[in-house]
Amino acid sequence: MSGEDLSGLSLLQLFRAELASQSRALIASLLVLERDPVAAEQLEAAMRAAHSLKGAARIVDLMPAVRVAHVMEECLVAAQHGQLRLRHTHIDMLLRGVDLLGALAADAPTAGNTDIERFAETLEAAMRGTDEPVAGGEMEAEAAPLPPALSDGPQANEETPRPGIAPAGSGVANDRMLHISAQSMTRLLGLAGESLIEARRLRPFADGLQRLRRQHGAIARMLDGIRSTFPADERNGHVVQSLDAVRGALEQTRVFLGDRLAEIDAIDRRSTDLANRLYTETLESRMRPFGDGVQHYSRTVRDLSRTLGKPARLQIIGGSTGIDRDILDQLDAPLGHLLRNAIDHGLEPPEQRLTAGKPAEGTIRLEARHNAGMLQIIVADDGGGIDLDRLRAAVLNRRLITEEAVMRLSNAELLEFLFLPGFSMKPIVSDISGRGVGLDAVQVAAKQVRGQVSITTQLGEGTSFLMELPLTLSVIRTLLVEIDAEPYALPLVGITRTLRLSRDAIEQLEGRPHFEMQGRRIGLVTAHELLARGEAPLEGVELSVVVIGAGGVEYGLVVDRFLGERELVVRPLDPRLGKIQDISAAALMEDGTPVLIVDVDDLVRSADKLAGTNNLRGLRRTLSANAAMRRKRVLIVDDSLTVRELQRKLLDANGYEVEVAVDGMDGWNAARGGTYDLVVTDVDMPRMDGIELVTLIKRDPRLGTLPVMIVSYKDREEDRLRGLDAGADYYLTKGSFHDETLLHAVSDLIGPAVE
Amino acid sequence: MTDATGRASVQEAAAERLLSRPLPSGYREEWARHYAETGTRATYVDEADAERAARNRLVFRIADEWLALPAALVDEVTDPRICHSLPHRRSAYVLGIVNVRGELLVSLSLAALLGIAGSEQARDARGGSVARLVVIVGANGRVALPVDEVHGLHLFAASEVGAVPATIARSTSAFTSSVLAWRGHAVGGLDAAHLLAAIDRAIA
Repeated sequence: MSGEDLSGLSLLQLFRAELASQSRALIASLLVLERDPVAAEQLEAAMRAAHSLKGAARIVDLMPAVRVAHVMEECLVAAQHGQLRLRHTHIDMLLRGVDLLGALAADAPTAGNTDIERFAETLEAAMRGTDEPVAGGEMEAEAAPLPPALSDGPQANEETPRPGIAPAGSGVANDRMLHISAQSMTRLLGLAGESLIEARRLRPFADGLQRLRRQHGAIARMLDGIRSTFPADERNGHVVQSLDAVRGALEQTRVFLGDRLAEIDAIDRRSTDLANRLYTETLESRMRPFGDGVQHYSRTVRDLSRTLGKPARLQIIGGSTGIDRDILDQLDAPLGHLLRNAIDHGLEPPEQRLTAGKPAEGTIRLEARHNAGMLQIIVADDGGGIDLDRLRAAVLNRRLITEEAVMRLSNAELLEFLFLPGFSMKPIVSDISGRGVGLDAVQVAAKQVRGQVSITTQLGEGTSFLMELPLTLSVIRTLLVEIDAEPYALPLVGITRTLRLSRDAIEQLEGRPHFEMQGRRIGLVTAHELLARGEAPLEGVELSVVVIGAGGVEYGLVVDRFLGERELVVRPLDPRLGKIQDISAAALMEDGTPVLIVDVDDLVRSADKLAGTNNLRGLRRTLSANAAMRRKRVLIVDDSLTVRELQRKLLDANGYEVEVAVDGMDGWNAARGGTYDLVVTDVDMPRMDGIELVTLIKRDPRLGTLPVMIVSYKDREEDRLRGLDAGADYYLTKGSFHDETLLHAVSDLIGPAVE
Repeated sequence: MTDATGRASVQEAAAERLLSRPLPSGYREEWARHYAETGTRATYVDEADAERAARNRLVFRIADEWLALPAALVDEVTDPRICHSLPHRRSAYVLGIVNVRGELLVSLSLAALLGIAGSEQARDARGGSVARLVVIVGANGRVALPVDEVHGLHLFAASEVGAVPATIARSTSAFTSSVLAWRGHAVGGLDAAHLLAAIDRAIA
């Protein structure tokens, strides 16, 4: 292909694109026409589609396709003029024509000319009314003769409009769909996310301006102070006047700055809102109407019902329900399987249905809806349902479970057996034979998109398969952890629980570290070792452990730190990287830092392998080496979350174990309740201020020797003295903890985090 | 205060006069000659666009080696980003993934690929880092290459492009298809096809 004329190639691609959209419309119309052969509107639409295809095929010089489209058009025109009444045979042939066009467009050079000619002759013969197909042709149109009730044609069951066929297309057609490449979608999402991150930077900037404004206030007060030192008789002097001028200019600056602050606040609000909306909208544009993706099943159901001699129609409900493109793609195979199952095994033969008082034609319902943050897809038939007694017998017969146990199973539990690989009721019953075969594949597919399938059935009334799926694959709830100073995200669905494990609770079993959780023994592995990141530092008395895996294979994964729960938008990794062991995808955090999403199943397997080779020595060694080690504990008391977090991060990053308290009272309670090596406190706080806290600590007989450091905005000498008088060991002004000052001060007072 | 204001307005007026003064005679002709001359010397006017484009290059530095990439290959040049390493990757080439405009790109060590040792963090006059991330785009996607310094785009004259001397056994010579003269440096002109192929191999 590569050596061919590129312009010709792109034309063929254009033709394919046109064929894709035209054939969808054509099939939809043909399916309606099968029920109502004189529907003028549909005849017109089908004819126009065939005509357009003929023209398009001529442009790309695909003569066999021109021939096919031409005969189809002739047939439809004849029907339009009333010279021909479309029968099942015609519809069959016309549908086959669409297939043929598809084959021709897909693989232009090899489509056999004989096929084309045979098709044309058969259709022309059918049009002449000599219902006789070309001898020996595999184009034999009429399959098994249909029961009289149906071949009598549409008049027999001429009901109100069929909701299943036309609306699936037309309900969706209100909003035109666009084709967009996956790559440009990824880029759009990336840019939208980036603009959100950029917008979030405005807030800290505005906060910075606010600080500047406060500093201006402080300068103003200083000037006022200077001015008040002048005796009254000098108030008109040259210096005082200059001072007043400066004071005035400063005031103007403050007002100006205030205005800008208000402005930047408004800009921040607007742009954050805008960026949020842009981001959400971009995420949502990954959604596609359900009807759009399942419309082609109408044809599948129709063809299959003809082949099996079981009249059936597909009813699509909730066609406009939004569904993630990726999920829809991955559901294609399982949905097709469920639909085939429903016709093949779900529906009874027409005679039996009539006897049971049902219409000869079965109804397969394909429904999509959003429910409680999940997407539900239902495939239901109005057939005979599953005989639970027979299912019980089949389960017993295969010795899957004891007789006593099988009687205790609820209906739902019993139906679960149908999802077992290779499970079939065949040897027991013939009427629903094969039910269950392949259902395991459906379940696997559902699990792949993080969903599940369940069955409900009512004997004599039908069976319904319910798939519950996440609304989107692109957003995932995760636990963020830190491993080797880098963030990793573990999908919440893969986590059994998280815990802080005391070192005392770790036991050695056959030389491997274990701990007990709800009566089970869980082996410990460090994430460092699993991900080949060297040895874990394993500081502190407690380990952060995530329990992963299920059934008998569970592991306690030791991570450096829990960072919290996050919803992440899943981003693909460069395909050139291939599959990275233990990693499924990547994402971005709020600040734009990349984070890797862990493939938990993979990780469990890796842990299995590591345990098998008895390679967990790293953990054992560090465990014993660090057993006696204790990190110094620091209590931070500050009413500002920002300051608190800043200090906490700074100290934590340097190995100190940090606790926080939100005001003096809280701090006093914490100090009395715990054992700390240092208290770092602010001065101005609600309930109890820092000076009082220091006083209380220093007066306490037990805590008296506990070093206390004051960190305050107040940088006047008298403030400093007040703090030190109360007993503080160190007085540090805020603004200096950005650099190493705080760390040095802490280190001076209590030494490094670990000695 | 008034003094300063007065001085400022005087300077403003002077600047105004300087900028709007009539052109001295022969000024236009002089510049026209200058550009015409440059054109002749570089002879790019009547040259095939492709050939000219090949001489338009991004000049950058890794450690003490100055190198040049075809400009057409460069998607953007940006500040260094936080790089998240990839587990189990023993390759010295792949540094990890970086976020560039919301897209996660593979960050690749050009220094390792070219075998240049001793890449260091240079600082500019104000103490800021001059290190940059060069994003290049190939047939198989984009990739981010950290470099120590980027000079910018430079259109080399045909006369400034020379062959790689056989005697110079530079470690980078495997990817260097030409030597470009630039500000007294010998800049290694990297071969696009060769480099992209090596990058694809390094990532996979």
